[in-house]
Amino acid sequence: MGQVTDEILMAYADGELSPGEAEALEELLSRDATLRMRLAPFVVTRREIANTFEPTLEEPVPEHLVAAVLRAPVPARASKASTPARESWIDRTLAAIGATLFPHGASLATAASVAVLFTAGALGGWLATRSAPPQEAGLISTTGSGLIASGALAHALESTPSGTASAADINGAAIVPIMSFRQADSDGICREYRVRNTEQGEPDYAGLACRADDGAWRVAVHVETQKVTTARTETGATSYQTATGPNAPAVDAVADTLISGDALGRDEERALLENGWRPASS
Amino acid sequence: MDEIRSRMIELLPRLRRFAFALTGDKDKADDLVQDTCERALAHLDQWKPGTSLDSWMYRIAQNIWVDHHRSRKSHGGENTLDEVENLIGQDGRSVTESRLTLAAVTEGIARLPAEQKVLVAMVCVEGVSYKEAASILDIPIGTVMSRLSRARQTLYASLIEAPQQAAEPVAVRAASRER
Repeated sequence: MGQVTDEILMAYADGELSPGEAEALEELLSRDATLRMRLAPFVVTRREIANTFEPTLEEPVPEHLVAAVLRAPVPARASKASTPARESWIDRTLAAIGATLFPHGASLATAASVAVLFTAGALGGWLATRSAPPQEAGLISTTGSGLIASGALAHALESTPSGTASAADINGAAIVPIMSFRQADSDGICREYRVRNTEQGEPDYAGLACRADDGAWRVAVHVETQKVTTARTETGATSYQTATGPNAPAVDAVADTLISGDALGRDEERALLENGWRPASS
Repeated sequence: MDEIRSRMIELLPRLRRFAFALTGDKDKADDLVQDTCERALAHLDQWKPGTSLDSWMYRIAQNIWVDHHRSRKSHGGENTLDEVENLIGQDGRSVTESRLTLAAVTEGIARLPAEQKVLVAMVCVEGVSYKEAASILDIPIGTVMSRLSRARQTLYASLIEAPQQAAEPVAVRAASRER
């Protein structure tokens, strides 16, 4: 290896060198302090920049953005080429934005394949040098391939029946799974949920997560919802036990694109829940 | 249609992060993300199915941002102190030990030239490879590397100098946020 340029050092810090190149450079680094000092800026900036923006990924997406994606018009040509079911879907979605969609009715099934939804996000090996996310106690954490429910949210999705609020966690968040359904195509289970924050001034959330084969609940959408302030009374901490929480039409609309058939019935859901979300083996 | 929209929705957290790294402002970032999604859907016939939707969306986002940036620059308002102040105050999370670094990083990025900022956001924030970044921006990979290398060295220098400069305003803000 001749003159080692800054670009090569940076490529090493970013994991862009081939194994052979990396090995050769490591050999040089091991006996050249000046070279190690020149490497420092790239290693440090990589780590600090990633850490700085990591929390943004775990923030809930504003509902208006989800709604904008669902509502934005597409040119006639593109829509014609993709799916004939477009009209009815758009109509349904617009209805969902304007009105509540609980409970999901039988007409909501859509033939569209959304299994691809969970294949996006190859972030490569860039996570290798990253330290742990700063918000350990959060409801959502990130992995190389997307957002995963963690902490109290993961626990509630895994083990709490729909319509039942989990006990508030240390951060004052109570989670209510509101329905479960089978995904079109993959037959995997998805659950829509609400997060009510009992702390004054903390926002509520709504979202949707689907269970992956490895048992992780992958978050497809997670939005902040309007706080229902009128229902809050002095004694009111229990007032949400029977309610499903604030409406989140955008999340419902996303569920609409994923769902196959109806929401799971109470008995079917309990059977799955007690069996670790695996179909009862017969 | 459903499928594309669902995939875009799943991309929203990453697009927001990318846009925040570019704009340094949460509200501006969300405006940029919304513009990006709307433009992407309006030009969906230009997207080749089977190619990376992520890369295509990053490309649209950076195009919109560069356009805005240019028109703002021509009106004389680039990287104003206000904007930098905004960056520090924008982040509402609790004060942590990493706060100084965080402020220094966002401030340092805000001061970079637009062409370098885009690459920092793509490669260091979003984890896009050099090759992919070159293809998204339609520039040679050598240019990607030289710009990015310069950006990182500038940033590193500002991080090393940061503590003295950043300590005071951040401390003042932290105190004023106490209830």
